[in-house]
Amino acid sequence: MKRRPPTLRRILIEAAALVAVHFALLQILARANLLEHLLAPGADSRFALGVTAVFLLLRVFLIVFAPGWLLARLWLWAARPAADGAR
Amino acid sequence: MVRSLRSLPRWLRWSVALLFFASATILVPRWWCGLDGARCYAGDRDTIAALARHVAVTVAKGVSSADFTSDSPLFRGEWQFGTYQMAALGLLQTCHEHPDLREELRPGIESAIAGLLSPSVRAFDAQSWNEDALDSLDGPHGHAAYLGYLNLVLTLDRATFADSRHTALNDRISAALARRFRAAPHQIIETYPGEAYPVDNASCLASLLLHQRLTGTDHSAAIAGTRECFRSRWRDSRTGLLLQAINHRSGQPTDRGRASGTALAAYFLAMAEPGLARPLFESNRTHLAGSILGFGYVDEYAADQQGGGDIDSGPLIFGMSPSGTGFTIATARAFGDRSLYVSLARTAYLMGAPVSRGDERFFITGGPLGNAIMLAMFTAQPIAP
Repeated sequence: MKRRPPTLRRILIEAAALVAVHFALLQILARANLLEHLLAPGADSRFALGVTAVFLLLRVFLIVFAPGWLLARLWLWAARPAADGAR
Repeated sequence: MVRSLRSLPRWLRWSVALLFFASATILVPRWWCGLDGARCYAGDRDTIAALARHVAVTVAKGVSSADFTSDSPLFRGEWQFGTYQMAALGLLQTCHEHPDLREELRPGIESAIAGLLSPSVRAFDAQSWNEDALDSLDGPHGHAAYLGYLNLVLTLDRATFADSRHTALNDRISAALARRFRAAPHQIIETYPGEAYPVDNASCLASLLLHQRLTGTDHSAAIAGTRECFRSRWRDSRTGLLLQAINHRSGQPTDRGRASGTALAAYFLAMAEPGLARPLFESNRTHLAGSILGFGYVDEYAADQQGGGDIDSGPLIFGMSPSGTGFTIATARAFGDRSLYVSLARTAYLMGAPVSRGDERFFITGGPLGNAIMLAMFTAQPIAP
C-alpha cells in the first residue's frame, strides 16, 4: 500500500507540536536542579537522569536537525508530483 | 513555476531535499545557538546582567549541601563551596566590566563571601583535616583548595571595592599561603591530607600574585619555585597539559595532564600572570578542543590516552569533558579567541537550555553550581594587550 505524502497543514502542525512540547518541558524542568544529577548521580537520580536525557535528545533534534527536516519536508510538499496536487 | 516544480524527476526532488536539509543543519543551529555567546563575548551589558542577577539571587537565598545530589558528603560540601566561589568571581568580574551594576550586585557578592566563610561551608575541608582552615592559619597544614579559592575571591573583592571589608582576612590568608609554599618540599601545598592538586595551587598562586600587586607585599621568593613548576615540571612533556595530581612527598605525578585541571588553572592564572596561563590555554586548544557543526567541545584526555570521567571532569560523552569545555570558555575570552569562545558557548546554549524569567536568565540544566560557573566563565576578563 502506497503511503500518502503529508499535507502542508500536517507538516506545520507537527513542527508546531515539537516546539510546544519542547517549550513545555523547558518550563517544567526550569524548576528542577538537573546538573547535579548529571555530574554526580546519587541514589535518587535515576528518574531525573531519564527525564533530562529525553529532554536533551528532543532539544538536540529540535535545534540541530528540525530546521533542515522542516525545510526538506516543505520542499518535498511544494515539489510533489502533480497527481498529489489536490491536497 | 509550481507546475515546473511538480514535474521534477524523483531523484532531483530528493537531491534538492537533501541539500536543503544539509544546508539548514549546518547553518541554522550554528547561527541561532551562537547569538548569546557572541553577546557575552562582546560584554553585552543586558545579557550579562540577566545571568548575574540570577546568580546573585541564588546566593542571597543561600545554597545548602542538600541542594546537591551526590552521595558523597565531601563532594556535596565542595560543590556548595564551589557555588559561592564561582558566584563571587562571576559577580566581581561583572562589576569590574560594568561598574554601573556594582550597587545592584554587591549584596550578592557579600552573600557569596559570607557563604564561603560560614562554618557549614568550611566543614567539608575541616572534616578532612580535623581542623578548621581559618582557625589554623598559623599551623602547617595545607588546606590549599579552601584557602586558595577563598583568597582569590577576597583579593578580587579588594581590587574591585576600595572599601572591602575583608582586607585583614585577605592579608592573613596570603601570609599563611606564602609560608606554606616556602615550606613545601616540592612547591605544592596539600588540598587534603596526602592529596595535592596543581589546579588548587593555581588558585593559591594567583591570589598571592594579585595580593602582591595590590598591597606591595613581596611574596616572590615564596612562590618562585611554584611558578617554575607551572611553567615546566607540572606539565605533560608532550602536550603541555597541566598534570592533574602530584604526590606532595615525592613531587612525582599521580595523574595525567587533563582538560578540567588545565582549563581551570589557566583561568585562575590568567587573572594574575597571563604569561603562565597562555601556554596552558594553548595546550588545551591545540590538543583537546574540537567542533561538530560549529558546536565546540574539549576532550578530557589527549587523543592517544584513555580515561574515565570523575568528579573533576563530569561524565565524559565520547571523551568530551563537560568541565573542560565550560572552563575553556573563560580562557578563550581572556586570550581573545572569539571563534573558540562562541563555539563553546553554542554547546553551552544547546545543552544548558537557558530560559529568561523577568529580568533574570539561567541555564535550566545548570542548577546553582552550573549557573555560577557559567557566569564566571562568560565574564572572564580579557587580558590587556
